[in-house]
Amino acid sequence: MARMRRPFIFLLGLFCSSLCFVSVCNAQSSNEFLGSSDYLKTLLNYTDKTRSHIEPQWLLLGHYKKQLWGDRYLSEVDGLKFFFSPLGKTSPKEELQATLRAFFEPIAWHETEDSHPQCRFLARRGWIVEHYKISSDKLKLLECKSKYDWIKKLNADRVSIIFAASYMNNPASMFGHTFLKFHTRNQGEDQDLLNYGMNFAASTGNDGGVMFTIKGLIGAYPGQFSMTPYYLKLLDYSNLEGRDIWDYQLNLTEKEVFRLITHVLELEQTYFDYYFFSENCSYHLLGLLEWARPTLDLQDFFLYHVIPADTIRLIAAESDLVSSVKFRPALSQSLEERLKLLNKEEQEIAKMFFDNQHVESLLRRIGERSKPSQALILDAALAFGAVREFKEPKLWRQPLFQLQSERARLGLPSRAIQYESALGPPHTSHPPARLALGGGYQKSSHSFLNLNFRFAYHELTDSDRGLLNGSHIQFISFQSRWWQETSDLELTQFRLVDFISLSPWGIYQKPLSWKVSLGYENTFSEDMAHLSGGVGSSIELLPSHTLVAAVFTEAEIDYQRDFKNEHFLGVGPGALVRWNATERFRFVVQTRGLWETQRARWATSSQADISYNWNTHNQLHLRYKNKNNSIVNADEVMLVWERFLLL
Amino acid sequence: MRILSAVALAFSFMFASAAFAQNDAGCGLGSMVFKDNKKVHQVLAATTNGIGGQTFAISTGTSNCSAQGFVLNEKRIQHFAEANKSDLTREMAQGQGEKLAVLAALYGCNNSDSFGQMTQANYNQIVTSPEMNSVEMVNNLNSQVANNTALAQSCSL
Repeated sequence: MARMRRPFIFLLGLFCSSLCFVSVCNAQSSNEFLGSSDYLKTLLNYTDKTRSHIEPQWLLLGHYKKQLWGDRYLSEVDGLKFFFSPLGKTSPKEELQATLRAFFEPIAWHETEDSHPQCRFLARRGWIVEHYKISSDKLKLLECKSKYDWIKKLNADRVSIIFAASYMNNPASMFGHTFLKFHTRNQGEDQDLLNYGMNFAASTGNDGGVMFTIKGLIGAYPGQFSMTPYYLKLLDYSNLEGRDIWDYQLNLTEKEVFRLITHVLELEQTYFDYYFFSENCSYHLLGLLEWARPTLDLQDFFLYHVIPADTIRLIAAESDLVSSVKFRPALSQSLEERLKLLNKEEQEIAKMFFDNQHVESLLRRIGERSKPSQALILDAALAFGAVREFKEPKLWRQPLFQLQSERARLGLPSRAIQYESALGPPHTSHPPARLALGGGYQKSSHSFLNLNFRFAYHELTDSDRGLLNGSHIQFISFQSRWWQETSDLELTQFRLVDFISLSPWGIYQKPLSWKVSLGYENTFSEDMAHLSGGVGSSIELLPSHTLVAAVFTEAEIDYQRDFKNEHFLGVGPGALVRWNATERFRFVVQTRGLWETQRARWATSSQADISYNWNTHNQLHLRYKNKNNSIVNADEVMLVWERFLLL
Repeated sequence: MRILSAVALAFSFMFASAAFAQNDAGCGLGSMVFKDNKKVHQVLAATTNGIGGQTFAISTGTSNCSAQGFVLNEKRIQHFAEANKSDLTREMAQGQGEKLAVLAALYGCNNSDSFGQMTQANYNQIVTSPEMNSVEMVNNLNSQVANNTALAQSCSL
């Protein structure tokens, strides 16, 4: 807004300068323009002549995106203080010219030297000086001491992109989250925690629930960059939420790191409207990287939605951008590993404590044992308590104190736990979208050709590599068929959401498994909309999620068009078995029976899947399915080739 | 950094016996962490996928423990201890751990093993009660480090 008054300020400035000797102006030099008006004119003319404003680097600095038609641009920055020109958001040219003018402004026009445009926009200044080959005798370049001091204090020589993986039972976390980490120069790997993390996040105030979702979808929250010690960030992700952390260290030169930092400092003063699915945490990190290394082209890859895991995939695929990938297990994971150090007998004692959580009886029970054995059991108990403490801090304070005092009394340092990720880094996972082509056969000779498309993200029949075991999260999937007999093309299935979360009971906890599905079903000509869900439990029959079985209590509401005013409600049991036979082969069997209240009869359905993926992008999938209720009594078999796509 | 740690230590000692001035009662971040905690445990919480109730500017934010986005040098131990108190007390009892090693480094100790042994051996002098706050913990730790002849040598005090 202030920028609109610039000409007046200019006149006011001239007026003031004549009064300088009698007013508060302390030094005459601070009231002078930093370069001659002739030189400014030369630069402005040069801009016109060479169309400097469409230089890729200037467009990156302003976060300008070319619009679909015409020679038009729009900046993604929404805070107007970011622009010197009132037309800055839509005109890179006006903005460049206004920036040039602003860089010539006398210091006295601003509160301090550090609030002078040159210092507020160090990255712009860097590019302008380079592009116009400006020498300091033609334009005085300010020292910008506090900005440079800040950069010196950050003292970063490397940058990592940190990926916080999704975690159990939370669909909102499934896409992962990314933020930046600045490595302090000369700081050892063992002091990684003391580095600084930088996040792009929306400030949502105290909004929650529906308001939160709606505002997030329409971009009503301002998104800003913020910085905290890395150990604080890890407390949230690794300790509280139990998310594994992947550290992708980037191969940026010191100059590129410097470019990145100076540009972050420009963005710090402004905001972007935050959109959950598009202009989100990951998207703007890509923008920063593009500026740091202008040969990168990352943001344009994404048209409508940005899944953090996909940005990692993209970054990892760039040649010479990632120098190392490191894994940091979630607190709960590394503690779980402690249990593997225990023998059978020790595990029995530890388990008893996990069940009754009674410290006195645990101490009684271990009293007779050897010191190392006591230490192992106490370490397991402490691990259990640590995971629980984050959920119930008050409850665990006293027992943990008692356990820790006991543990300390024993002496003997605990063994450090080394833990590797079984599923591999996130960039090795299959891409989220999936296209399937194939055909099948229904009872009574209905053969069909089948076409499926899934927008995102992961089905139980897909490989878990790089992802989370036991999660099934599908958004927006279509299935259409061409029936050979009738030559009809039909939409046979649409699912808006389809979630299954299998969290097997472990030694530490007995989590809930659940499922939800909402969509339209016409596979056996049911022509109905359905909403179904279930809660239950799952157990691991073979370790590391190799063989998991689950039972559910399920319910479904159907709405069938054929039957006027009919809503059907069914309730009943369900079961699921998933076998990760090898890295490539998976078997999934699901079955359920629902008691349909209105029709007073059982409706049963079951499904068996075999899938084989020969690489990350391709998979064969065989499915048998049957359904038996008052309307339908049919089964089918189908074979499809599934191709995973990055959209 | 060693000099800074020494300064931090000296600074802490100055207050060790005296009652704490109000502005020195920790860094006030424990409350912050657990406020987020509640939100996080809602099933559909998206708080931490880049959506947060609170954001801090990078170079301008100032609290009694940090300025311009950085933890104040003289508060590094306190800030770290407060944020990681529960992991630290566990690791002290166990005599080793990643966070304990970082704490040792903040004290300028290049041998984190002997630092770990010291915290394990003196656990109940450092963690005196379950309700003890992190300021007390750091004070107790300060005196233990100072009283330990082995550490006095290996930690550049």
